[in-house]
Amino acid sequence: MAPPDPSSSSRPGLAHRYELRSGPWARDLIGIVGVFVAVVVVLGAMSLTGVLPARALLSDPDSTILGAKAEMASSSALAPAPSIAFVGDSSCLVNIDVPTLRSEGIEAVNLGTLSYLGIDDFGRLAGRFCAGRSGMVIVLVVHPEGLQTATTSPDHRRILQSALEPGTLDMPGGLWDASSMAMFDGFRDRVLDRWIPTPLRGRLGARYGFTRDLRREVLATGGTLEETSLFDPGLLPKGPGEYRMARRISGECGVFRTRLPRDVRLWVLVSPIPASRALRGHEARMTEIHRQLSAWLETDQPPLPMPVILPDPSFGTVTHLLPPAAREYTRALAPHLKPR
Amino acid sequence: MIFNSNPFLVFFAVVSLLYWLVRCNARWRDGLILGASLVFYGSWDWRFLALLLLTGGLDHLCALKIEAEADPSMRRRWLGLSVVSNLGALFFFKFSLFFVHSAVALLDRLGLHASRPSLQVILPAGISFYTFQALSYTVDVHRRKVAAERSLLRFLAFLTFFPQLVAGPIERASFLLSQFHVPRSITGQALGRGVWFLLWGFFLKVVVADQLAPLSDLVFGPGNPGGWVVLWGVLAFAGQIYGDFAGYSLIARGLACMMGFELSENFYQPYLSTDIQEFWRRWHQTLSQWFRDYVYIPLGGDRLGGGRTVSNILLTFLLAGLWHGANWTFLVWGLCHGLALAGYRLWSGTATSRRIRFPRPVGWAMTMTVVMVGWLFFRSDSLSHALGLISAGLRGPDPAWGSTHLRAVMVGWAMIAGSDWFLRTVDWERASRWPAWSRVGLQGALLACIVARWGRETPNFIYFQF
Repeated sequence: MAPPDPSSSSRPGLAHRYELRSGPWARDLIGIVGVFVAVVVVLGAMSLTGVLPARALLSDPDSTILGAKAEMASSSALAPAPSIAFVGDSSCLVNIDVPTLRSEGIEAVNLGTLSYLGIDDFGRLAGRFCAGRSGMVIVLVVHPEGLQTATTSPDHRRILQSALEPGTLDMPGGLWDASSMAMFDGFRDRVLDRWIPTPLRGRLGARYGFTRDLRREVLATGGTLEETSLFDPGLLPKGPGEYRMARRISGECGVFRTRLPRDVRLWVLVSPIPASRALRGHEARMTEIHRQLSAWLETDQPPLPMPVILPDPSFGTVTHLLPPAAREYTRALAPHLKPR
Repeated sequence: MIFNSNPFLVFFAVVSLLYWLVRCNARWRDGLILGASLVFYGSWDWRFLALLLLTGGLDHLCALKIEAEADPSMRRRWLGLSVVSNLGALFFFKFSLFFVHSAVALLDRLGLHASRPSLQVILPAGISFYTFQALSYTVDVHRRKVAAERSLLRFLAFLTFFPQLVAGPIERASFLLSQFHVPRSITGQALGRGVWFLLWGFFLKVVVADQLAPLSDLVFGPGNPGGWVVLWGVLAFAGQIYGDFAGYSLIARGLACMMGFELSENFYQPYLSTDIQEFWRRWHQTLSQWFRDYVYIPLGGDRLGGGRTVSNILLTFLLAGLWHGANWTFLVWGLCHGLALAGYRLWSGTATSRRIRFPRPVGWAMTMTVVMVGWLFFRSDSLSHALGLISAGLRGPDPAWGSTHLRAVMVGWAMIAGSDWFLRTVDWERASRWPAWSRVGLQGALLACIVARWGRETPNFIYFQF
C-alpha cells in the first residue's frame, strides 16, 4: 500500500508530518556515525598493530581470574618456581588452599579456574606451566557437578586464549554484543580498565572490593580464592545428585594429555560434594569416574585418598568449601603430595 | 525489554518505520502507539496487559460520564469509581501483603501468633505511574480543566505511551493528550533534539549510574561494611539513582521527540538545591507536582494556618513515601523529607519577617544532609538494616576498604557534575548553533562512551520497580 501524500497537512486525520529540511539533523547524524566509525577503525588498527597496551583483563571477575591464572601459569610470575600445579574448575580454585600447602613445606600453584571451561582448556594452563621444564607434577581437580555439564562457554574459552596469547585478534562476542563487534571490548580491556577501577558485585565485592584487588589477592595467595557465600541448605540443588560424565569429557581429556610433556606426573582428584547430595554408593561411583578419567588421560597414578563426601556445613555452595574447610581439606591432601 | 538493551533498539527502529508509514492517519498512528506500547509492556509480563486495559477503559468511561452528568453527586460517584479502581489496583498489588505482614508481625509481638499468608503478589511494572496519570485525568475532567476524550483508542494511546509508560514522567492530559489532537510536526530540529536527549540519557544511565551501582551495592548488599564506607555507599547511591532516573527521563523525552511529542522535564540539577523546597522543585518534578495538585492543595495546602500546613506537608510526604513501595523504609524517607520541608516552611516564615538568610553553602549542606539521610533509608532493605548502617557508619574509618572506592565514587560524581553543568549551560537550541564539527564531535564521543560501557548485562532502571 502506498502511503498518501504527507504534504497535504490540512487534511483532517493527519497524524504527523516530517519536515526534515530544517535543522542540521541529517548532516549531524552522518557525522555522529562517522565519528563513531572512525573511533572503531582507529581502535581496531591500534589493537592489531600493538600500539595499545596488552589486555588488562579486569572488566569482570571471570576475566580477572582467567587473566591472573594465565599470568601465573608462566613461570616468570612465580618465585620461587613451584613444581606442583593444580588445574581444574572452580572447586580447584576455591578448595585448594596454597598458603596451607606452603605452611606444610610444599611449593605449589593453584591454576584452577572456572567450570565454564573444558578439561582441554585446563590443559592449556598446565601446558604453559610445564613449558620448558621437566619433572613437573600436575593435579587435575574436577567436581562431579562440572563433569556432568554438557557444554562449555565459548566466551570464557576466548578470554583464556586471549590471556595466554595476548597477540590474538579480538573476535566478536556475538551478534548482540555491540561493544564487542565494534572492538570496544579491546579498548575497554586495554585502556579503560587500567584507569577506571571495576567494582565487584555482591559478596565478592564486599570481600575483595575491585577486580584489581581480586587479581592482586589471587596472585598473592598462589591462586586460591575464598568462598564468600554463607552456607544455605535452601540454595543447594534439591535431592541427591546422580553424577554422570558428559560426552565431551573423553575428547577433552585426550586434548589435555597432548598439551602436557610426557614426563609429567599427573594426578586426578575428584572434589567432594555435600553429604545431603550424595547417593548411596557415591564413593564407588567416584572411584569409577576416577578410573575412567585416568584412562582417558593416560595416567596410572592411583587415586589420592581424599574424601568425596563432606558434611553440609563445610560448604558455601555445592561445589565450594568454606575457607576453614578448604584449609582442612588441603592439609589432609598435603602429605600425599610430598616427594617420597 | 528496557531502553538500555539491544532488543529495544530494534523495537524502536521497527516502530519508527511503521510510524512513518502511518503518518497520514491519526487513528492508525494512535493504534500503532497503543499496539507498540502493549508489546513493550507485555515484554515484562503479558498477564498485566488486561489490568492496564481494564483500568484504562474504566477511566475512559468514567471521564465521559463525569462530563455528561450535570448532577454533582453523580459526577462525584463516577469520579469515586475511577479513584477506587485505580487506587484499588495499586493497593492490592503494592500494599496488600505489606499491611497483612505488618499486622501479622504486630500480632506476633503481642503474643498472638497468626500464620502468614502464602499468597505471592507480583507487582505490575509501572503501575504507580500509569494509575497516577489516569487519576489526574479523571480528576481534571471532574474539575472541568480538560474535556473528556471521546476516542477510547486515543485515550489508551495517551495512557500507555511507551516512552513514559513504566517510569514517567507522569503527564497531565492537558499537556500530553492534547498533543494527540494536533498533527505532530517532526522537524529536523526535533530529531536533533531527540538524539541529543537520547545520547545524554544513555550516558547518564550506562556510563554513570551503572558504574556507581555496584559501589552502592557493596554497602547496601550483603556483608558488613563500616565506617566512612557507609557514607561513600550513600553518595554512590545518590549518584546512581540520579543518573538512572534522570537518564531514563531524558531517554523518554528523546524517544517522544523523535515521534513528534513533548514530555515534561523531570529533573533540573536537584543536587545544587540550597533548600529542601527547591530540591522538590527540581527532583522528580512531575511526581511532586502531582502530589501538590491532587493531595496537598485539596487538603488545604498552606491556607489553613501553620499547624495544618505542617500536618498537610507530613501527610503528603508520607503518601509520597508509600507511593514508592510497601516498606517502612520508604515511609521513613517520606517522613525525613516531610519534617525537613515543614521545618523549612516554619523557619522561612520567621526568617523572612526578621530578614535572616543562611549563606547558600550552609543551606546546600543542610539540604544535602537531609537528602543523603533520606537515601540511606530509601536504599536499605529494612529499618533495622538502615539503623545498622548508621551505627556502622559512626565507627570511623574502615581499614579494609581502600581509597579506590572513594576515587571510583568521585569519578562518578565528577561525571554527574560535568553532565549537569553542561546540560544547563548548553541546551539543544544552543548546541544546534555550534559549528558542526564541535556538535558532531561531542555527540560522537558520547556515543563512543555509551558503546564502550554498553555491557553484556543490562541493569534495569531503579524506578521500574515502583
